[in-house]
Amino acid sequence: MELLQEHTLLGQYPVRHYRWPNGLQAFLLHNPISPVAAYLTHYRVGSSAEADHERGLAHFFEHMMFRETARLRDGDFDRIVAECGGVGLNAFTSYDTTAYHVNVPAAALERIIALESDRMVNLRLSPDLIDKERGAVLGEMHMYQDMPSEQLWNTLMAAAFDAHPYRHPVIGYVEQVSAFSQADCTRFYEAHYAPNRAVVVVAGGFDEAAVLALLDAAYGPLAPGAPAVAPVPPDPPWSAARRSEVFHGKISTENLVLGVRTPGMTHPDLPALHLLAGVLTAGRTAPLYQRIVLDGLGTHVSAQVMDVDFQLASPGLFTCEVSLQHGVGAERAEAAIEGVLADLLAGGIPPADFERARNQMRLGFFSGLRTNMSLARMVGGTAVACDDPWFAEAEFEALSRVTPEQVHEVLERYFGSAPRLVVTQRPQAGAS
Amino acid sequence: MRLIHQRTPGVPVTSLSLLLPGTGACRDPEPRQGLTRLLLRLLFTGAGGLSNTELNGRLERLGATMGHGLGSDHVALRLTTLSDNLDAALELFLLTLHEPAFAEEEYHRLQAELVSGWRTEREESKQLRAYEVYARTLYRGAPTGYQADGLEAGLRATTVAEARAHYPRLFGQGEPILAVLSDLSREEVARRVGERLKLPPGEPLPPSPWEGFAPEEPPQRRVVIVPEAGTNTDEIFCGAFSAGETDPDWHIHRLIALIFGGDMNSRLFRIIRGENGFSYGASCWYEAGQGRRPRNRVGPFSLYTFPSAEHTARALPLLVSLYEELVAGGVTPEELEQARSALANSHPFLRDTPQKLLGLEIEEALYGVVTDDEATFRAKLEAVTPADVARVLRATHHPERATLVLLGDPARLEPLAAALPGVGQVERVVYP
Repeated sequence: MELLQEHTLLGQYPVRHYRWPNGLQAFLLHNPISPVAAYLTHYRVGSSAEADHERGLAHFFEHMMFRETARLRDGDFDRIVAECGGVGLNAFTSYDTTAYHVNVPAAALERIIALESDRMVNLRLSPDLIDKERGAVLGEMHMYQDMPSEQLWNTLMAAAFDAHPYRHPVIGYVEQVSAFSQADCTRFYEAHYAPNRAVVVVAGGFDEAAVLALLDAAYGPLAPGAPAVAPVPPDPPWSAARRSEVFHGKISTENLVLGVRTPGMTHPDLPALHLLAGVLTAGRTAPLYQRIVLDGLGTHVSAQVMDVDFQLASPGLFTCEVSLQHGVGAERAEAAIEGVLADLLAGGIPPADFERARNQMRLGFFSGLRTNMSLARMVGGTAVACDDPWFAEAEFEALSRVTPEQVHEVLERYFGSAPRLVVTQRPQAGAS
Repeated sequence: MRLIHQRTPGVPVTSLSLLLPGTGACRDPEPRQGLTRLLLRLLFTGAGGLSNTELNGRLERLGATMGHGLGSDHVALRLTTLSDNLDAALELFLLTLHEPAFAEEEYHRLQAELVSGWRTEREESKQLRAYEVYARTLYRGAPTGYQADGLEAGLRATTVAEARAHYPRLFGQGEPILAVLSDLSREEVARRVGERLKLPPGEPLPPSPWEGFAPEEPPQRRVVIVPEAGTNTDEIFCGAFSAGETDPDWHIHRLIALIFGGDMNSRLFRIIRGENGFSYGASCWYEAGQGRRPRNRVGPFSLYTFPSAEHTARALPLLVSLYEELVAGGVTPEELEQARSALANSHPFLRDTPQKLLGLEIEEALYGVVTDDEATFRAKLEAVTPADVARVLRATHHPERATLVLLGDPARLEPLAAALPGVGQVERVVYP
């Protein structure tokens, strides 16, 4: 393998970046105060890679990764991880990546590396186990279907994207998931799971030379697979405003999301857009918080750029989300948001609001870096999302260079005359 | 005041938690469940002649926030700040503690916000709705059966005068604890914070009518149906009073919880999800170990699953029979060995971050719960035999007296409940 780069993350965590001839990349991050390690494997595949007839397959397949391999019987994976002291064993699938993660004592890294490298290439996908796992996946889908917030999210994404696969729920559709076959799973596995599609991050306190040797022995001999599929091109810009309204039988208050299209996560406007989100809602004195919560319209308001935190690598959204109080219509929240935006557009970004936003974001950034897994995700998440493992660190540093004038510029650019997307969720008339 | 401190090198943030024992949600007087939560939210909305906006505006520009934690038996008043601005942020925190405004206008706004938010949170989660009914049924009206955020009726009924009158009672009980997580040294924290942190005068709380309360359990199994039509999954909670964290056999209880439903390798997860695909999840826990109930008192042992509605007819009796089999048949030597390895090898995760170390010290200070060092813990686990587990199961687990709460379509659930063996009572409780 080849050492590509040495880097000191945040000025205190030495990281070495390696690449093997088969395409696997690994990051070894040393946390001197930690007695344990986080092990994170990101695959460069998510629901965006699915064809129209197989929505939900990436997530379904993620479940199958915990089942059986040529070397391990069903149940062995979970048992071995537990026996060696692993905690937090889990995985998640999103639009552009699938990640598997566990925390283990350093002494158990040898077993985890053996397990993870084994299931990368040796999975057995029997029809019997696929059927059993289907029950769990459908159970998960049913669980989400009972949550009002899921309906709002799915409506938002379907309204925001036209042809791009972000419009489909990551978890898919019941009819399609009910029909996934052994052939579907095998094809997906062969197309997307291989060392050249994976990024491994080991973060914590461990003997780096020993772990590197273990990684080399386990992953080095594996053959590369198919190259990554090209990302789906973004939809064209919205030509007009969009509105979508849904009703839910289990809610008694209204919800609203107002959004605009934003560029991809590596666009130079993103740091200023993140600061704009902070100006709007970071803290109890933020103008949107005041207009929505302190003025008694709603119980919650947040603004965010939906990029890498939402695992959206391609062009995304800037959204303002509001939960209304009882008896308050979503139209009032929409008017309040537009009023705040208009004030900022006309008057500029007040220095006090800018200072508040930047310091609150600094506080949030540092407060979120207290575990090995959070450090591992910081590196691995952006290594797969934009091929830049230091992206989150650079973005954070870029925040300190953004000026109030630049925040105002992005406000004008993305909100000035841009068409809005407004999604409202209301109680179903006559429902309990 | 006792100072507890853990250092977080490289994270330039200081988090103070002023813990006030002997208070908390369980000391809300009936029928004012929610009083302490309202009071704590109100506390940070103005002080010393500064309005809500002025106080929090100054604080937020420093990269700081104030907030609270509310347990069943204690309160935490919190300040989190960029360490560079500790002195200025602490000044505002002290001003808030000593000269809170408790303004009537803020109170009425907050009351409406909290009532609406309380309802919205429950509408989002039927798991929470079912769990609330389960806890209230088990605790039979005792305050430990309520969630810390109170009741909608209690929030509505509480007056600003009651909130003001309750404030000094937060300080009049046990010895306060100052828990600090910071990149600053203990000595520096003691000098810059400990020496300046003088508390307002306290008042005694009236004696609680529930002091020493031990819920009377039913002579046989009882089932409560929470009727809700149209759900895609049903909620099932099942449990009975069992043990607290100061029990000398607590390590055996931890083994039981892990073997039966503590992770993906457990019986419940393996059989209900893995082998049958009835539900996305199935688990169990001791309430005392979860922090929702006082850790040092006997609390319930709870089982939980949420099968897809079409599987409930098989999942419900299976859950109950698995619990009966556990208590009647104990655990196998193989299960015990696996659980022993899992608990012993994961012991480092009790102490792998400064936050967790601080949490252990807090538990010891609040509850007298001392966490064994790894060698002691391993020795204790090594000494446990299947006969020990069987003894503890027989003595402290009573599936024949369990309370079951089922949320879903009553037309489907009631016949299932009646068909369970040993059920003495089936009642309906409509979620308010």
